[in-house]
Amino acid sequence: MTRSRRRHLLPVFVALGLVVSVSLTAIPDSHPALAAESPVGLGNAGSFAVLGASTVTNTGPTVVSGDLGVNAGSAVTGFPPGIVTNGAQHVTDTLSGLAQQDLVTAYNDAAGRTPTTSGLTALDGMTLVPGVYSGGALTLGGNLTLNGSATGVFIFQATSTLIAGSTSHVLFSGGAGPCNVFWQVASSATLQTAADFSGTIMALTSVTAATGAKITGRLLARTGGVTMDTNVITRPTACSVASVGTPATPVPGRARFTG
Amino acid sequence: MIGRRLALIVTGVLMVTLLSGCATAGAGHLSAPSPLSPIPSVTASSGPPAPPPPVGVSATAEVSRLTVYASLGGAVKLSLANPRPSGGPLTLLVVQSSSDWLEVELPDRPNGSRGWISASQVTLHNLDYSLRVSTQQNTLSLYRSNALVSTYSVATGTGGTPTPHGAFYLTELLAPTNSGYGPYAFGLSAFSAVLTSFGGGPGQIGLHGTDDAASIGRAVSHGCIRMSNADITTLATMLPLGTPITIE
Repeated sequence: MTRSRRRHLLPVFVALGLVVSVSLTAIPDSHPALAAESPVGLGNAGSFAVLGASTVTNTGPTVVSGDLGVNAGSAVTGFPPGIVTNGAQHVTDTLSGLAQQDLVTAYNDAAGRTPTTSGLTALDGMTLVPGVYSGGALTLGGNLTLNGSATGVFIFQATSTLIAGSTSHVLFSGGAGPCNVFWQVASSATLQTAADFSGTIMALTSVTAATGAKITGRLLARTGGVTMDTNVITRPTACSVASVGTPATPVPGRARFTG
Repeated sequence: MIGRRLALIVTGVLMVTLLSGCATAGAGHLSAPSPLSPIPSVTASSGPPAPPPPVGVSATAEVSRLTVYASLGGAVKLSLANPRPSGGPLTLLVVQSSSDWLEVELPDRPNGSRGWISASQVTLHNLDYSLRVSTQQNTLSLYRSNALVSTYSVATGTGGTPTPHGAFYLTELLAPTNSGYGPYAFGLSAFSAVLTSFGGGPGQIGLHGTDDAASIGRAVSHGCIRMSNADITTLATMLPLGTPITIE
């Protein structure tokens, strides 16, 4: 390559570098998503803020906004002093059974997505664009920023545990929000004391929220329990995007109205 | 020379991409609000003004049979076919939501019947238009975002076969192949309190044109709301299914 051609292409590399640095901070070997991911369909599990299989256990004045359920176990303890708002308790009833079935589907869906970036461990300090991110034991000890539009989908796959530390925060920019953040955890998830966490956790085994952890999302456990202690757990709302209805299409046929 | 142009073009595309991303982030785009949640007001935005809130939300089925529950987590109340027997898509009017469940008005007797459906089985649309019928004045008023657009003269039911009062919605739109209904006929979620069947149907109230223009403006129908063929054509080209209609 001649010196002249290198000089001409220099602005390309500068611009490309800026784009990559903004989009994928601290992931030197990752690449942007090739196609937009669709959200993980939660079905009947979507109405739950907390859903366990064996038990749901709480200590302290936890506030759960959304449905709270257990299936097929029957033990929900700690409510009160915990309270459930904007939802109800579903203890091994029809809805919690359907929700657990749909959780299996959602979990498998998330686990089956093709990763955009693999080999992750610590997520601290990263700024990520919508995509699928996989790793073994995922940890978050500081800030994780998710940057995308309101429809941007972020899927995290942990083949082992997920641990969010006491100083961890999930932050959003560009219109992204917790509606479309999904954490598929192949064993158990732990949110340590005062963690500030967002997204829907779908753990194969159990989910533990330590004292004061705040979650904007869902704690869903497939086979084990959900344990809480003085938490605020808020299921995301305002997730539906509705466009304006278009004029009806007339259907030829015999009218049988009263006239 | 070609290399320089290529470099400039690619640089421009990349910089536009970068800057547009920055602009998006800087503008602080709000997440789209739930159709049943208050739309947050934005007072310090330099962008276009926020659209007015919808007057309603319709739910159009995405499954061949839509299961309706009597209550949240309750027993199955009924199953509705999609498309409807008339051939149009099954569209319901949403009353309220609870997480991923929707309470909807049902196109079924008795008038005002409601049930719960799973939000995962429908597509939601915001509704801008609404209709208000006065059986006393024999008028129909069209509103957009609650602002009056136009008022039309209509025919309504007689004293013996009155047009039922209440809050309903448009369930279907037919291009009638039989005479008497004009070029278009909307079905309503309302049913006659007097006629349990009519013309092979279940006594469903319609909003349609007419072959009897002289009847417009009078209380002469079997309960349906008749308009001039020109007026019903106007409405047929603008109103989505699910549009709320209040009859008083």
